[in-house]
Amino acid sequence: MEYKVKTDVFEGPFDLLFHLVKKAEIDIYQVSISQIAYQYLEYVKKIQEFNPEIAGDFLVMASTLLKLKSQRLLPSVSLQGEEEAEGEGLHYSSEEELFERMLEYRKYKSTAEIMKKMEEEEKKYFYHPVKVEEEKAAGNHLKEYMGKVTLKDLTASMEKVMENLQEEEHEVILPQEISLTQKMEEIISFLDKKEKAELEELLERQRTRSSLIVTFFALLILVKLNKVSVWQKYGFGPILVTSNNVGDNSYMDEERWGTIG
Amino acid sequence: MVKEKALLEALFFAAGEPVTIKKVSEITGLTPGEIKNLFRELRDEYRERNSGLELREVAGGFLMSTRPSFAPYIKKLQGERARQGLSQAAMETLAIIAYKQPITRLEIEAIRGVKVDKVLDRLKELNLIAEAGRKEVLGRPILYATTREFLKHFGLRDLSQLPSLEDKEE
Repeated sequence: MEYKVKTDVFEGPFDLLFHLVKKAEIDIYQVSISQIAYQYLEYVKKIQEFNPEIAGDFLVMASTLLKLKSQRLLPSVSLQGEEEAEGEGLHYSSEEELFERMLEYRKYKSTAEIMKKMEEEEKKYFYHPVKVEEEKAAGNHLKEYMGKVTLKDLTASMEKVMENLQEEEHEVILPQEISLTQKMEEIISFLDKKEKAELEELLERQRTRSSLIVTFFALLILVKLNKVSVWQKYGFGPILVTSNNVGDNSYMDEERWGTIG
Repeated sequence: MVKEKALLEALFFAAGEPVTIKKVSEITGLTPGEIKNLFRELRDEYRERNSGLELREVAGGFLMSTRPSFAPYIKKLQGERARQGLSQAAMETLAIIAYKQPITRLEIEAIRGVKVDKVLDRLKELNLIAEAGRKEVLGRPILYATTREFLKHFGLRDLSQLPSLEDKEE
């Protein structure tokens, strides 16, 4: 087959269409759809084989070509065609319109080629590297992260404590239930006494794996309920937990936690 | 004015990107007219003594850079870290936006005949295009326009310096 061109050579259906028209060596305004529709379809078949994900764009044009071709054979079909032409903008009601669009695309394609050359030329100019700017930008970037505690930070802390955890041996093993609400209350009352605590300090108080997990879980719920806040004074610093004091405890003034959130 | 000229030279060097007259005026207290004259003098001096540096008006500002003829040497200096150019798809999309801005995604797709969402994302990432409001039609689609970075990318002073739309049939 003569169209053993690599499929990515054509940037789109208009590109391929133009190629075929040119190849047929016919005046653009004289070319008949029937002549190129067949060749177009041949090519689309190839694309489907090698590059199915981009074939869709080409298929719409193929159907348009066939529609226009059948319009030619049966002029009455064109009436129906008119109605469905309101689609997504890639249907053309006449050959003239189709070729106009193709020529318009062509204009931008050649202009893009000129712009490519301009880009190449411009790449020959080198500037003083803007180091100050980069540092400033990086600084802003860091600032954004400061004070914000992500779930990842929390889990990292959790893992660290888990590693160091030495579970106490229980002499008598009794089924022990650790209630979530109990732990939540425990955290709240602990924070009430201390105003703020480091996350790790809070977790290290737990003596068993299961109470540790429940405590961590309780903390997540408290954060979700907006009862406590987790924050860092600076990037990679210790994660601090403070009570948001929603409710009875009012010794901490509102402004304080207002600035935290 | 000799001191001022040297001051501008220092500013242009340190900036490393186009600096607007307004900014130079704010920094130096010189009037826009004075700045323009000094810029021209400085630019001509560079040319006359065949300097390795060059001054140009790019993207609505003054830009100091090396002379393009020395590009091969600078590339050697930087170890061939070639600045990647745009793909053909990106370039075609950019051309359409440049000449028809502000324009919606669907309008671009109608001209190119292919989907352009990924290309648009890439161009936005490169800061070559930006969203420029919404078209007041059904669905209020986003309009796209080119940026100052676009002008800098192609070394244009402003949009009027774009090449005229090619209408030839090879």
